[in-house]
Amino acid sequence: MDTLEQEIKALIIKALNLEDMSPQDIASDIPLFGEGLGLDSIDALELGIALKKKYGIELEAGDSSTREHFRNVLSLAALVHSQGKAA
Amino acid sequence: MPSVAEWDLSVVRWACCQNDDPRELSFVDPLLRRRLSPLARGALHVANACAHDCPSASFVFSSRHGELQRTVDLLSNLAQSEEMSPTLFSLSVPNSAAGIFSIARGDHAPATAIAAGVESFGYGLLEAYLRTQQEPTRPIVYVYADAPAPHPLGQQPGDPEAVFAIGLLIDRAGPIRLRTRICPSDEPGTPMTLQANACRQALEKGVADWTDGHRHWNWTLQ
Repeated sequence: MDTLEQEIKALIIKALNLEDMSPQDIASDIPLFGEGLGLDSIDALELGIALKKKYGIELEAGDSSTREHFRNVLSLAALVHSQGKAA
Repeated sequence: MPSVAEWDLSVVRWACCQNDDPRELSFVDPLLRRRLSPLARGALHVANACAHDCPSASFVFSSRHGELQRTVDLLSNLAQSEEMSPTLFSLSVPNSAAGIFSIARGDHAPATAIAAGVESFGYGLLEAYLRTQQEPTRPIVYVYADAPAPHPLGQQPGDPEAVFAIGLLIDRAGPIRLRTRICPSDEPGTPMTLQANACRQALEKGVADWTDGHRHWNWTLQ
């Protein structure tokens, strides 16, 4: 499996304190918010800060593309590929 | 000595949780549970132990320090020019345990959170009593929970050694009759203990006293 995807899954688990979950439990294409993993808006903000800390990615809350980037692990990996600085 | 205030409560049952006592929190969805502090875990455990068979109850939550650890963490973030955690921010308020209990149970009954220094337990109990006067038919879950004030403040006189939580289900039909009396007191130099623990002793043994040197609290089972 893609190591960047693995890394992002580990980041999600740590930043959002997902008790009892391991990276294998998060399918790369499962929706993160609402139906799917069931994360909420506070998680979105928390994840935004974690992505900024680790990869230097700046996200605008009001930007319509942000919603698209946060769809699943695959879309986050694509974002980090295109905009992220090396961790 | 004449009392300043005196009131009786009918208690259905009570529960206490401290140190390594197990916390039963399976009634909270895991996605909600992951955000609970050690304090909130103790508070919600005793709340549920009291009210599990009671679908709707007013909730009175009392804590001297509340989620102070989260506030200290947020201030540390600020001091180090780091981004503040939205999760910490949203749960740093004193009524966060009350809010999560309401969400987890799907209960829209009113909830109040109060803090009153070293006498937080006693005045929280007074708040619960006033609730019974306002709405005699609705049961009340009263929960007091505290942890020692975190570094750099450090444990204060009258703080518990570790997380301490006690809950009472108060209802007209309750078989336990608990009387609280507050009297003026002039007992300077009395070492201050955890006020909530005095009430627990009364619930276990029938009578207990507590003072902060200015006021004397007495609990008796009738």
